[in-house]
Amino acid sequence: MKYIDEFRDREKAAALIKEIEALVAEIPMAKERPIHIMEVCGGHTHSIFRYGIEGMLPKEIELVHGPGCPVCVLPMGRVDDCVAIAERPGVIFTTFGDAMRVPGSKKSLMQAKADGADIRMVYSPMDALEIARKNPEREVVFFGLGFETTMPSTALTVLQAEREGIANFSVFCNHITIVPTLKAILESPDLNIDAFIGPGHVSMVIGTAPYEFIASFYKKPMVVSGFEPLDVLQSIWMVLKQIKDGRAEIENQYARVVPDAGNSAAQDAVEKVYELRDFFEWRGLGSIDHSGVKLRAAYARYDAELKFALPNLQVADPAACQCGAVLKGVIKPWQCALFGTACTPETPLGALMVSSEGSCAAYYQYGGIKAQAGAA
Amino acid sequence: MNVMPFPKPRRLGKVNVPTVTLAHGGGGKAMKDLIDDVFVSAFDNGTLAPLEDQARIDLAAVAAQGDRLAFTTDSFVVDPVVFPGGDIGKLAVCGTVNDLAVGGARPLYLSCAAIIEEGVSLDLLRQIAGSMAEAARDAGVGIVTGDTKVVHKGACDKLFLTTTGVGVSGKVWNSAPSRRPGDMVLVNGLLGDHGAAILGARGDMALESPIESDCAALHGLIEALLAAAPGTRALRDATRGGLATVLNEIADASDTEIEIDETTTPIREEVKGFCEILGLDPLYLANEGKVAAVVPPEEADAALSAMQAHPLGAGTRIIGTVKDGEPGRVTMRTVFGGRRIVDMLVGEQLPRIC
Amino acid sequence: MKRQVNIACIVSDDRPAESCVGDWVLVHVGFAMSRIDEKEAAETLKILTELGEAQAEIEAMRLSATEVGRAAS
Ligand code: SF4
Repeated sequence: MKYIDEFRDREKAAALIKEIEALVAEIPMAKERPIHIMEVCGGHTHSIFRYGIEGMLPKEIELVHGPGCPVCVLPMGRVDDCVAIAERPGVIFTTFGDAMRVPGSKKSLMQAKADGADIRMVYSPMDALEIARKNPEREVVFFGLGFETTMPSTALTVLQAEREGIANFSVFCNHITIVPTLKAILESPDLNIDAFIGPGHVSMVIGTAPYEFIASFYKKPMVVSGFEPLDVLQSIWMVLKQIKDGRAEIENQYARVVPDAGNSAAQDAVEKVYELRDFFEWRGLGSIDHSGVKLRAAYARYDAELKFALPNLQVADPAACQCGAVLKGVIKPWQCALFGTACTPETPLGALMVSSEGSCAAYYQYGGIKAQAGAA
Repeated sequence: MNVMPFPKPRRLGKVNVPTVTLAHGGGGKAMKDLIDDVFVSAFDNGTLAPLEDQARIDLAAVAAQGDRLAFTTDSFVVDPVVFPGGDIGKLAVCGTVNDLAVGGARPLYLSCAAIIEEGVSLDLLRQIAGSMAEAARDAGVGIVTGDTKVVHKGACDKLFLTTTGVGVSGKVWNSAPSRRPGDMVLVNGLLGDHGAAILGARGDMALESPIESDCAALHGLIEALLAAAPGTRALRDATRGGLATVLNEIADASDTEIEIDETTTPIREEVKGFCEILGLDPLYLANEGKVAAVVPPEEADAALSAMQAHPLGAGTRIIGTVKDGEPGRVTMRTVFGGRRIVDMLVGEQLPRIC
Repeated sequence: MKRQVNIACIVSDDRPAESCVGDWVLVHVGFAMSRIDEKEAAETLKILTELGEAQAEIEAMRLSATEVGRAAS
């Protein structure tokens, strides 16, 4: 496939690894402790495990897998709300596939479907709107979730519904924003991260300017990166060069997709349809100010939260769950007491075990619980 | 007094309404007509024609072909019932034939039990029975007994089929339990076609794809393989859970590690694209005409050429080796040069968004 | 593989829909979000290719240096 296979080339990878090794040798700090690089986006975590990148890197580099997957960070209370909407008679609840397994306090959407709720997986919010067109007597709700990457597509779908006057369509909006989340991570006192691999798809929407504070205020380097394995390696290399030179800048490795200014049409749609919430609850991270959006009053009739009475209860994360510490790079997934015992991909307790991109699930699946068990 | 000849020649019944109703499950004439019209006329063989409650088979003729009876059963509930490259009928024949074949058995007879949802069209049933008959003919097996039930709307999804298969083995090969480091892993062609074809045909993802199911009966290919490589150590058809799952099963059962190489693992560009879009891993997609074989290194070349010479094995590749590593683990050397663990799948593969 | 995709985000007055035909785009959940910039893609790959070439050169120099060293001794 064009623009894909070229970025999976073994020889170029080998050359990059050599460069990375040479750079690490020139960074004095690496002799005392590992360099911690966080990839913010779940897509990168996926590539790293999928292509075995971690094992190719010199041991002085440790990758910390970030809050990445927007599915995983949904708190139980929100999932309970989803189930409550889906179980109302007459409702067709539509969702991206990977949200099906996220545990609520009583059940996941998968279990609700087994219990008889009409829950359908869709590839795109446009497909949800199509279901609404075809079933005018039913209420069709789309489970809007994701960072800025998916925000515009949900917004454009709402605008389309408005244009066509489709009244039986609404969105249960759980979109979240990246910048406050990064701030919350950067503010934590036990932070243990030297540099960031920045999200590629979020950036193709918002551009690179919103990250400036990371370099200017927190003095951490960041490279916005593509998702092919060579992209990730090259970004690690660029980040290391910054560390070696003592620079902290926002660089763009993914220029073939990410224009510095982002996508203005997408930004306009987002601006038009959403406003910031005062705060949004995250699984594993607690409440973060201004980290979520909801539909503006002008689109209230497409807001499932207003259309249906919701329980809207806050449900606390399990006490022994250490997702926060894993997220901030303080501990590795397998150091959490619940890892692989109470918390597994079949019965996830914490956010990071939910989708294959969560760092605990990724370690469990690819990094090998078997290897851990074998070593013990 | 004359003895009535057996089997009694009889006229086959016919259904003259377009859809199945509960009346067709009532045990009366309507049901007999349904069975005649759909199944008996399609399967058309001497053992089935008398339509008794059991098929009776001459033991001596069976025993002449081997010293072991192989016996297996499988249910088929695929949605949609008709998909690019096949339908549930073809699947039900090939699936059970393959379950016999991977044990080294020659498949001989099948039974077929059908659970039909009321409201299903007769034409659809005729079409599916027709493709069962064709697949059975191609595979050289007879469908010799069967059962039909009709259930209320919603009690099943259009049509469920269960086929039980009987075959004979022992003459040529019996699955050896141990695998040794250095053994080679072969697969007979492109992976993931069936899974991608089914997901595409469901239409939920509104993806138009040209991918067809690889549904095929593999006993001929396997016979050729076993003749060329009698030391073959393991055979599995990579159905649900895909190649990754069967390799894990093999590694687990033999306490060895298997390492495969992504660059030689054959996957069609369209399937790669399909997976790329939906965030799926083709190694976990179902196949219905693919077998993974583990053969000793000295027989690998013979196995490879024997399989490649068979029409269903033209795309055969050596994809990996058995190693003396972590027992029960499957790893893959990626196109990129890294290594990753290929674990058992947890639950169902769900499309990712990010 | 074929699918309907929404292109609202990649068209504008100076880039009408007709001008997109044949373009490579990045599609996310059914929406084309970015046109792939061929120049930038080539640029990224060029950097990586040059890296490999530079390494090969250094390697060659090192080898010939040892050759020279050996010849001298
Ligand atoms: S093992 Fe489970 S609870 Fe522990 S950090 Fe990982 S996801 Fe959270």
